[in-house]
Amino acid sequence: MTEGQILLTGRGIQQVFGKGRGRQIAVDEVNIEVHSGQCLALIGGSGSGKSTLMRILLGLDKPTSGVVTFDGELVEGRRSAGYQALRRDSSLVFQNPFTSLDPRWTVFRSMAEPLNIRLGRHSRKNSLDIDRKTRESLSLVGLDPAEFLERYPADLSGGQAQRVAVARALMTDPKLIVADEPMSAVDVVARLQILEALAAIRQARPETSVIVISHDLGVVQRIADRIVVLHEGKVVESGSANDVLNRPKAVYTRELIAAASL
Amino acid sequence: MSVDVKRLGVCINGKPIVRDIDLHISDGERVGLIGSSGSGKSMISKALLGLLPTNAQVSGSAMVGGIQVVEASEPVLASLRGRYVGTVFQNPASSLNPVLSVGKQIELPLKLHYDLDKVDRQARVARMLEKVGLDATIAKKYPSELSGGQQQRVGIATALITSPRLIIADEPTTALDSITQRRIVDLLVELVDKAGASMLFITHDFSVLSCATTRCYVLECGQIADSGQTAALLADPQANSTRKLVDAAHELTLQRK
Amino acid sequence: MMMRNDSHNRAEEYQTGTDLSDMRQGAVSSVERSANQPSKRAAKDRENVALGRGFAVVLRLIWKRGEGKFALTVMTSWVAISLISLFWTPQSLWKTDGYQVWAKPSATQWLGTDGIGADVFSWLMAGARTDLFIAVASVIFAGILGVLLISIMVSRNSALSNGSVVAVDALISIPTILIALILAVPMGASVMVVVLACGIGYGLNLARVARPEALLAANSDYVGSALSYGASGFSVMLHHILPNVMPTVMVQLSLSAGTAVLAESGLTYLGIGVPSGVPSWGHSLATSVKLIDVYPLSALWPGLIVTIVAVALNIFGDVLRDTTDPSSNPELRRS
Repeated sequence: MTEGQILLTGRGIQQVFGKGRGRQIAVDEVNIEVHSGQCLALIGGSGSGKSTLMRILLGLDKPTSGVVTFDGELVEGRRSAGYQALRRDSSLVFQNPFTSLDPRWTVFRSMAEPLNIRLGRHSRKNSLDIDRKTRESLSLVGLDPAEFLERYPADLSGGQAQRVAVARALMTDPKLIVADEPMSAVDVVARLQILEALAAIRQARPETSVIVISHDLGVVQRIADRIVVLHEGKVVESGSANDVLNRPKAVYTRELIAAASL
Repeated sequence: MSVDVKRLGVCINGKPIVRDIDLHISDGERVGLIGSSGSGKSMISKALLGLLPTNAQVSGSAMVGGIQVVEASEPVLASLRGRYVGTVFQNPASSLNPVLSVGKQIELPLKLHYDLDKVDRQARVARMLEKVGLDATIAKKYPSELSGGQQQRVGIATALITSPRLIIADEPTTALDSITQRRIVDLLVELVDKAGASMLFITHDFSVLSCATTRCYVLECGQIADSGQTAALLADPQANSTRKLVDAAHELTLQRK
Repeated sequence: MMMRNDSHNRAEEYQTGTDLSDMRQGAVSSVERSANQPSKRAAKDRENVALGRGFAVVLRLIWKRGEGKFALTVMTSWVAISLISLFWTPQSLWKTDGYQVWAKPSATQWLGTDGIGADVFSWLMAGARTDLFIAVASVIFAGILGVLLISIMVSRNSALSNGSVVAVDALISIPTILIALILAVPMGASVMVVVLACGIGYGLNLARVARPEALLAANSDYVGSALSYGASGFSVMLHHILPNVMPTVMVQLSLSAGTAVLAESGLTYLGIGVPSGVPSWGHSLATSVKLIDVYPLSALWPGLIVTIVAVALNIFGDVLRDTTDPSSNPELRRS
């Protein structure tokens, strides 16, 4: 795997909640970097700080200390160039597809939303392009546009809804897609479909970086290039997927491997 | 306690959810029920507990320990639930009462089904907490102060405190992270075997099932599509629906080196 | 193996497609692309048809239920009678007859006459339009006020949202009748007093009742997703939050319309509602209630009408909530 340019970095990231006796270090001195075209898996159990770290890396929360850069620009506050770039060039996929799709919107409307927001008053003029783009994204994740575009979330299975969410993340041609536990709210068959969708995206768009957040090493083994294991706010292990899965160093990683083995 | 289900069907508002279910659990056996979401797994467990929604029509027969639950009256079912049949739910956060301390919560089934004095009940709660690997001091805490894994241990303690003869575990690990998942399954298996009870384990994940059960039924679209020894099905799946689930399990788990 | 092949095909399909950069240019140059115009108009038409169809489906769903039939019948008759009363009533409103007071129902005076010999039925018919105006106007006013308050209450500016919650809670403790009394000081007895008092009171109430639902939507992932694509707070409010609180808003407003009709009767009876000389159900009730032990029937009619209309509006609200939710009505989702 050739490594592309560095897209996203976090240096010395620390996030502390509360003060005095209730003080809690959720993320502790984490260094992380994502290259373009790379798929990074961020692994950790509940309470490991992986979601907190994700929010910081996406510029949605401000860390207590530490620096985030995206595409070479500093992410610091809503006015910074890095933050603007993140909003423009990153997409999010949430854990529960049914709460991330508005129940009163059709699949088409939900998918078109990022572009409608982006293009603002130009979106009407581009309605045909948006239409075409929606169809392409939907076919890429393995759903037939003719069948699904006019459906509502209530008519979708978990796997279908999550793939719609993934397809929506593609609409803006992002440089970075972040999926927060995209497979833990659906059954195993649907998990596989989501993995296939992510794999298809990586193949069609080799420049796109993907961060997959999960508690399970098993689900990311096929798509991750690099794995970072987070435990109690600290990075306990990081390296290429091959190394981490076959030659784990940390005790916690070995436990994760045991838990993910058949 | 044995379970014998024959030609069980459940319709909701005339729409069949499950049909022609034949399922048998012998005394002390751990049996799995596996299927993807929407296959009707939970409906079967609800039928066994007599907890189907009021607009459901049931046909066929379901014997639980010699009692026909399909036609049983509410008092009979109530004495069966909790006392002879214990249930572990999917989401411990919502199946525990947030305003009741953990100790009170575990004690409740004892209070309902047995005539014991307070000291005796509390001693049993303390022993149960120890069995599920929790500290005795946790009895004073409230569910929101516990982690997901601890909450599910409390859920197991509540289900097992009355020494039920059948445990129905409805996706008990789906809401937990992978390490906690494995520990909870191991704990459940150990406790059920020690008590000599039977267990019906419901899941969508073959890798969990292989640790928890010896035999299993595969459910697809409301019908039993396949059944057999869990290990055999996993090694050599024949039916289409079984293969789909087994393939997913292989794709999503690491192969031990 | 299958997975690899499959994704490869999809990948090719994808690469032949458009890029966003093309589209940005398209935004500038698409004015010339006249070929787009007809199909865009078609899309617009399709949208309108879908909207009309949705409306028809909701009406049909309401009609399918027994209680919905009742509510729809009462409301349609209300509107129809109000319209008719503008042009025709069985007797002139201003025809009084000192020899014919408190007359029993007869062929000419269908529900008898009141204390000054005016026809009760004609006054009730004419009262329908005043009450309809009051109900509609106070609902519109309450709706605008309520939606504005909801938007402020769930805004992401915490000072604004917390402040507005406290303010609404404080204001809501003032009873509607007190608001009406205060308004009546400068305005005197008038229809507008009823409309304003009801509008303010129900608007505040609406904001408080709908707030939890609005918060739920505001904190949901789909709003998070929209914000992460750079959507403005206003657009999220308009497109995500308000549509999701609409069921609650509609039920509340429908209840409010019923309560407004009741309030009109009460306030008019107190002398701060509809001024005398303007026909309204409250007016009919107020004039007949003084002699209720002698002529009980004359107070029965306006009382009965007010009750039936209030009940119908309450039922309509409930039925509307159940029938407009696409996640529980597959018919609304069919395209």
